Amino acid sequence: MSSNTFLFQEEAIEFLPGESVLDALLRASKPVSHGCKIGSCQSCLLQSKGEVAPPSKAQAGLNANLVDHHCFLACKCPADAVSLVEPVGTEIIPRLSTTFVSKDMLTRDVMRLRIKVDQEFSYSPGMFVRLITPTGLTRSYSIANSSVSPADYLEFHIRIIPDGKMSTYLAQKDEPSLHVEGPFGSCVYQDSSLDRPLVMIGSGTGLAPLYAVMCDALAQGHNGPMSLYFGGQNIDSLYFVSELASLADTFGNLTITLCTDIEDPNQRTHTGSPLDIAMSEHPSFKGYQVFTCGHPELVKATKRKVFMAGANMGDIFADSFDNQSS
Amino acid sequence: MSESTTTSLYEQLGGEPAVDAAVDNFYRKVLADERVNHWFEGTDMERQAAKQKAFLTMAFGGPNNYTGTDMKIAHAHLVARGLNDADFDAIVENLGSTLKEMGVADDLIAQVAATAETTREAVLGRI
Repeated sequence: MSSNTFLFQEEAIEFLPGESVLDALLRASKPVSHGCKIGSCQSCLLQSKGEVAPPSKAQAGLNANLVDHHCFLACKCPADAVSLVEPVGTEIIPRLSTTFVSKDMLTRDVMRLRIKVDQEFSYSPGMFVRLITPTGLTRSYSIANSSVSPADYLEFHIRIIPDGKMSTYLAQKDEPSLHVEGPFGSCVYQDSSLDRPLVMIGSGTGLAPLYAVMCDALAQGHNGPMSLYFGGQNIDSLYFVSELASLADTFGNLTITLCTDIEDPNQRTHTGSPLDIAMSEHPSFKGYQVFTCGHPELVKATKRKVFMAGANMGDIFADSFDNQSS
Repeated sequence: MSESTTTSLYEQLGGEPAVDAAVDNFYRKVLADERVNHWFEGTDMERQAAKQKAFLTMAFGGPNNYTGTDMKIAHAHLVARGLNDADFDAIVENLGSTLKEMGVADDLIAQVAATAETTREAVLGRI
């Protein structure tokens, strides 16, 4: 094999200097699934079968099982770092068929999708799965179910992006045909922390895992103070507003703060970013657990600011992908 | 380091639990230090923290696989952008004040600083 190729499904793929595995495959017209190209959506997960492990920057955000099996994100992996590349085997991540249940709109551009996995499937609230269409289009979505036991379906909150391939498919197809892979993620409530302060900061469909984690924490008897800061452009872009209000009525230790970029004429929200408002209300995050999900810039800023305000790195939980653009 | 006759520095400091306790405080100090925090802009926090842990483990005299060449290669892109002795001094200073706040004895802090010091030439690409 010459030095500027790697093998993909037994075919030599030529790459240019500095090119990523993903770009080389796309240039060779290989129909490889991909999304954000910045290492966050995990759509372009592949497996290295060469002797050398993939570089750690191409494995950032992957769970231990995937790392151990030399799985990597093709968009973040220099093509010269691998020699033999294959799609991820189903022995590593089972791919399960599903049956469509229902879909409806939560806001003008957020769709709720429910599907049933055709065999036994277990997960913890806050985890995510990869949804795969019949043509192989793949995206990661958080499981939004508010509790595990009563529902036999999985619920997802899907932002509909006008030119997003996946969301267009999900919105336009009457009964989307999907497979799931997973579950993945470590954005999960720690039941050893029942009395510790818990803050959740999110925007848009980032509410899905936060809502799941919040309901899980309450179901497990969390009795420390809990605060959710949920942001969007205006009140119409926020959803689950009445569900959140009723939870806050039921649980005295839960505070819900709706935050909007645009001032709400009826004073139903705070004006500003959910992070800024959370920071103004919590001078120190020492001893806090923090969950954050939503716009990538918000998640990144939240991780840094709450860490600097005293939260331990191990107490900051964030999903390592985003669906703001797919 | 003689392991059979005396307790190692790493053991005296408290081993891995001590490293874990120090990493967050150390990294927080470094990110707050305007002399050096620009070197950490845009980096992934979890991965950066993992590197800080490896560095502290090494400085504590704990098990590590670093060679001078690894250090040199890992920092070459920063040296090219001007990483220098003053930056190295600031990092060692932050390490010292982290340990001081944790109540570590001065003679042990001096040993940690001396261990960190052994990497200076490699980190700054002078080997």
